[in-house]
Amino acid sequence: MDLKNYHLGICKNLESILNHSHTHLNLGKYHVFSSDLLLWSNILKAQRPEMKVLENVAYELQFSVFLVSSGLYRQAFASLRLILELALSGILFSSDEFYFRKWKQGLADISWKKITDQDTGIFSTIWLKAFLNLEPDETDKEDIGEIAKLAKETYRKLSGYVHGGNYTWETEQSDIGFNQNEFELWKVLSDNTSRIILYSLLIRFSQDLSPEHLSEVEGCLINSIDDIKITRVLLGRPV
Amino acid sequence: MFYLRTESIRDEEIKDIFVSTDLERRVINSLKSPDPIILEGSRGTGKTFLLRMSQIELNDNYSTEKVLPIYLSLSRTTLIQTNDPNQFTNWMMAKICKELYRQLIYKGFLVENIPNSRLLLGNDLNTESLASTFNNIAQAYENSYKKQYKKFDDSIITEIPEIEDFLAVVEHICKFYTIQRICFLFDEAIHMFRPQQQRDFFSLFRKLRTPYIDCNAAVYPGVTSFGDSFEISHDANLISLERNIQDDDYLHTMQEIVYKQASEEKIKKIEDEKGNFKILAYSASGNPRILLRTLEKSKNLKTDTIIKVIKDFYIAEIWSEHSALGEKYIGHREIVDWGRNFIEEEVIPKTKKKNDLRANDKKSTCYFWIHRDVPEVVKESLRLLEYTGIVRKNGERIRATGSNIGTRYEIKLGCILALEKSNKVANQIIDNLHNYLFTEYSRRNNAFSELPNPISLESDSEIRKIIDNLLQKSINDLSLTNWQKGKLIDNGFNTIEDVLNVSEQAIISKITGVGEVKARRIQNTAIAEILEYLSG
Repeated sequence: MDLKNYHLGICKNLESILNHSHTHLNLGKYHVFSSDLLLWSNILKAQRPEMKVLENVAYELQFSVFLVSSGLYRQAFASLRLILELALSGILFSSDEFYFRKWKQGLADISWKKITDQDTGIFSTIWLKAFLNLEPDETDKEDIGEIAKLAKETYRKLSGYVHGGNYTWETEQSDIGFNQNEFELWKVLSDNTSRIILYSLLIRFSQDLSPEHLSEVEGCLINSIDDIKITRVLLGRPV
Repeated sequence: MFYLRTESIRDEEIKDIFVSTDLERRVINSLKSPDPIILEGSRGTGKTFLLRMSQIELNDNYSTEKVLPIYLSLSRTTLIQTNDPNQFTNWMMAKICKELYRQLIYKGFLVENIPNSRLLLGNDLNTESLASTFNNIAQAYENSYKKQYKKFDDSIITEIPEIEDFLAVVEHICKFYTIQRICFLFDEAIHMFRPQQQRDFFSLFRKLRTPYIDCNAAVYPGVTSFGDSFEISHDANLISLERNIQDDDYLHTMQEIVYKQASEEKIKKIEDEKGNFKILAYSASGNPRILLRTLEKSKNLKTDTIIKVIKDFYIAEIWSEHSALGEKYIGHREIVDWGRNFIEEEVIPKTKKKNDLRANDKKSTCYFWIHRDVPEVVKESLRLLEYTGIVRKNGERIRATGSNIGTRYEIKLGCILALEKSNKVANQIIDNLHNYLFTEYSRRNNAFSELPNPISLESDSEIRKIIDNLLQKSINDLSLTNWQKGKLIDNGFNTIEDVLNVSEQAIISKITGVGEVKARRIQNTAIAEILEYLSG
C-alpha cells in the first residue's frame, strides 16, 4: 500500500465513523452555535471591529463539530480550546485596543492568564461593574464566579488534549474509531464553551444591544444561559 | 436559596431535582403520549417544570422514539395590540413556525447559512433564514403595544402559512426525516384577562391535530373561554396538577421536593423540627413554589419563627398579591375585592369557628361549598381566587344539605393555620381534616346579598388601557440615574411613551452627553418596566 492509499483508507474510515456519529448523536445544536456567533459578529463588528474574530471562532467551531463526528477527538478538543480562547480574547480586545493592535500585527499573543486575571480580566468584579454600569448584587457575583470556575475547569481539561496529558491517551489502539465516552465529553465541554462565551458577550455588550438586536440573539441566550439572572433581566423574563 | 421558578433552572439540574411521584409521572407520560392534554394548575404548582421535564425526556429518547418536542412559551401575548382581527392566531403561527424550524436545525436536519457565513463547504447552501423571517413577524406583533406601531403593517402576514398548508408541510417533514410526530408543549398558553386570545388559542389547538402533531398546553384554572369549536373533554384531556393534602404520601412528596434542592444545613434544621416543617408543608396546600418561598423566609424552623412566617405570608402577602390583580385590571377590581372580603371576612371566620367547635370530635376543615346556581359574579370572583391559588376546587357536583348540588372548594390551609397560636392546634387541624365537613353557601345566602356589578367590558380593551396608562407613567418611575432623568425631562421627554416613540438618534441629538449606548439603555429600561408590570 502506498502512502496515498493509506491516507485514502483513513478517509474511508472517517466516513464510516461520521455516518455512525450522525445516526446516534444530536449534532445540529453545535452547528447552530456557529450561526449564532456569526450573528453576534454581524451585530457587534460595526462598532467594535475586534469582534470580527467571532467569524474565525464560528469557522473553527464548524471544524470542531466535523472533527468530533469523524472520530478525530483529540483534534476536536484542541479546536475547542482555540474557540474558547479566541472568543474570550476578542472580548478582552474590545476593551484594550492597544493589545488588539499588537495582537493583529503579531506583536503580542493571546493569553489565558490575561483573560482570566482576577483584577483586570473578563470575569473580575470590576469588569462586571464597568460594563453593566451598575452595582452587581449577590446573585450577579455568584453568576460570574460560577462562570469563571467553569471557564477554568473547561480550559484545563481541553488543554490536556493539546499538551497530550496522560489521561488523553486512554486507548491502546492507534487506529481511529468511534468512541462514545470521548464524544460525550466533547459535548459537555462544548456546552460549557457556548455558555462561557455567551455569558461573556452578554456582560460585555449588554448596554450596546438595541431591543431589536437583543431579540435577534434571544434564541441562543435562552438556549444556553437562561438560568443566569442577567439574561432574564435583559430579556424581561421573570427573575 | 431555592429555585422558585423553573425558568431559572438548567436542563441537567431539572433532571436532578425532579421528584417522580405517581402524579408527576402520570402527567409527564400523558404529555409525551399522542393524546392532546390541557394541564391545569395555579401559579407555582409546577406546570412549567413538568413541561420541561417532558421535553427533556423526549429529547433524550429521540433516537429511539423519534418524537420531536417543541416547547413554546406564549407569555408575550399581553403585548399584542394591533387592529388585525387574527392577531393572536397569526402571532402564534409565526412563533410555531420559527421554533419548528429552529428545532429542525438543532436536530441537524437542516444546515443554516446565515448571511456572511463562513462554511467549510463552499457557498451553495440556502442563505435564506426562515427563522429570522418568522422572528420578524412575531416581533412586529410583540412591538404593537407601542403606539408608534399601532398602524400595523399587515403585509408581513403573507409570509405566515395557511393552517392547511402548515399541516401538509409538517406531514411531509415527518415522513422525510422519519419523525414519528411533533409534540408541542405550550406554556402560559392563555392570558387570564384576554378572552379573545383564549378562544383563538383553543381554536388553533384543535386545528393542529393530525397524526403528526400532538398539542399540549399548560393553563391556569378557571379558564372559560374555550370558544365555539373547542370542547374540553372531546378535544383534549384535562389534567389537574393538584397535590391533594389528604393523600397519605403528601408530606413525603413535599419533603422530597424540598430536599432535592436544600442545602445540608437546611435539611438538618428541618430534620430537627419535623413537626414545624409539616405545618409549613400543609400550609402551602400542594404548591411547591409557596412552600419554598415560606421556607426561604424561615431562618430556622423554631415554633415562633414558623408561626410568624405563616402569619406574614398567609394573612398579608398572599392577599396583597391577590389585590394587586384588581389594581392592575381595574375593570375586575370590584370582583377581586369582593372575593377577598368573602373569603377573609366570611369563609375563614366560619371555618375557624367550625374547627374550634369540632376540636374535641377530632374533626377539622378548610372546605366550603358553593351552590351551582349562585350568581355569575360569585363564580368569576372564585375563578380569580383559583388563579392566585387562594382557593382550589376540591370536587364538582357534590351534594350538600337538601340534596342541593354544587362545587366544593378548599381554602389554602395556611390561611386557616395562620389564625392558630400554637403548633399543637395547627397539627391537630392538619391531622383531622375531613372534606365532608364544609360551610355551605346556597343561592340565597346572605353573603351574596350585595354583589359587585358583572364585568361589562371585554378585557382586551382593559389591557389596552393598562398599557396606555403605563406609557403615560413619568420618566421618574424608571430606574435611571437622576442625571439622566433630569436631562430627559429638561428636553421634553416626560413619559415612558415619549422615550419609546422616538428613535435612539433623536435622544442622542437632543440631549448633550447622551451617547448611543446610554440612549439604548434608556429605551431598554422603559421596555423592561412595561414587561415587568404586565407579567408580574
